[in-house]
Amino acid sequence: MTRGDGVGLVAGLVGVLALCGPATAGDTGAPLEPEGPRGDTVRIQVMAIEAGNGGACDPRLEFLRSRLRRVVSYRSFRLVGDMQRDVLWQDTEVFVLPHGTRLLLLPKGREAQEVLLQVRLVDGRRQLVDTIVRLRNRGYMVFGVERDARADEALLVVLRAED
Amino acid sequence: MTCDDVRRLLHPFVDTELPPPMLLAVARHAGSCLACDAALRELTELREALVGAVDRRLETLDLGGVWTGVSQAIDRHETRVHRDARVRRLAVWGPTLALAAGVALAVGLWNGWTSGGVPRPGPTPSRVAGGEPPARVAPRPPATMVARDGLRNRAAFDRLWGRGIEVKREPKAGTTVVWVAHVDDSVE
Amino acid sequence: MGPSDWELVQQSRGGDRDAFRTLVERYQRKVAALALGMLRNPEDALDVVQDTFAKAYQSLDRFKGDAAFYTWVYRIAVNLCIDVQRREAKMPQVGLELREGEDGAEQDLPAAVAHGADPEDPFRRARDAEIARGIQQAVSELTPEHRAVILLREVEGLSYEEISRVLDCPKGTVMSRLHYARKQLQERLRGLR
Repeated sequence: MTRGDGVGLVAGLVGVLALCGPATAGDTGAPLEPEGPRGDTVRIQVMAIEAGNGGACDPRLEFLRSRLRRVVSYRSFRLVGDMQRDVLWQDTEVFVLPHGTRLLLLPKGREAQEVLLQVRLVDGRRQLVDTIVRLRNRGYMVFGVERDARADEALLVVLRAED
Repeated sequence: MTCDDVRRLLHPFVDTELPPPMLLAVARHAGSCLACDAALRELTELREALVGAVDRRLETLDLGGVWTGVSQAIDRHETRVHRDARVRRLAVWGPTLALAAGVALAVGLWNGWTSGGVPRPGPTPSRVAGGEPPARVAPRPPATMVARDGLRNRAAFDRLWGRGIEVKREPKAGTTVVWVAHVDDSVE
Repeated sequence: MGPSDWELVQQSRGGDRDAFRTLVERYQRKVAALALGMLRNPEDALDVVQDTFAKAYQSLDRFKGDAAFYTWVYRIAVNLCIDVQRREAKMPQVGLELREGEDGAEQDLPAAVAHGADPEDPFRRARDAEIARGIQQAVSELTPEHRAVILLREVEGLSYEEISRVLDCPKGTVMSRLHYARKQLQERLRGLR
């Protein structure tokens, strides 16, 4: 064994001992483990975006706007809601959105790389969409609701699920 | 070999770009010099950290749909190539066809006039004169409902209900958009 | 041992789509690793992977076989990545994938963390994740040219000669860019340990 090898070995032992020391995240400064048993919940993210043709696009959303430009052709995207929750499986969660719109969501299960969700989009007392959707894990989908007959403005609801 | 010599050769050493005798000389020196050995280890640790960082991100990437996307891009390219070739052929043969059609019509009309009967249209050419038959082009799916398998953001519906709704899919990643058209409350 | 890259290229040129598919599946992971290192956004990286091979197919006639197929493909990928970066440089943006923290690094926490598979492992894994995040951040702060060199060398294992062909620059430039990039990353790594 050379001197270099010996130094390396000692350094390695010191490292292991440090790791085995008082093991709280506060001591090491390392990131905390996620709270609660991750397997019981699915992380849901919901973004509400006002889309229109006047004004500038929020730079944070330019990525999304350019991605969707072939199917949603508004020039300006403005972020008006941004929520993230860990939702229990088989439990219903309500996301309150602008203009009296609500998203009701019930995570039903997981199969392979897909998360199965029941989603209802409700506007006041009127049901706009009722669906059972299979979303790719960590993938996202979009609901778009026209605000007026000329479709000059719309509310976009971006939904992402991660198990 | 001195430490200065070795420091100059550290990078090509870890990249095995040195000729074998020099590789050996550097290795021998590092084996007995703590400082040079530490410098070498730093470089190898950097490589491990970088490879680890990329591998972590790679694990989260779903490459399952890559071939599908590539194949479809190739299809689109070949469709364009065939269409462009057809347009070029038409540009060459179009005037000729137009002239031939005009002559056929004139002959038909003349025959009809002289025979007193209903003029019959001339024979329709089933092939472009002197050329190949037109290439068969696969019909293009509607832009708003491109259902493609294997795209990473594609959502599938076990059930979907809504008034005035339309499903659109962004073509590259398959991101699904459920579009709800405005409904006039006064009509309901 | 399957057919060589050159044989597959010849077959692909003759219209054999399956032969090209074999090439794609042989190298998609390598191209993905390069694109992921060059770009912040995994979706952009996936787009680059697809576009790289689509472009390669369209340009197969131009591949002369004087370099390895994979170096030719890397060249296409690097140029596409640089195009993406130039576009992004004009628009500061935060995509959905980055909302959870730098580079979506929360995804790095494996399921084993939650299920406590190994009592020591979570801290090591968390530390590694922190280092990975820091390194990725440091890489993203390099210029595209320096980023390409360090990734082609460290992650893809290309020689200086191969890197100079991919990037179409002299070997001396490759070495000096590599030296600079390593220095920058080493300073960052020291700060993380």
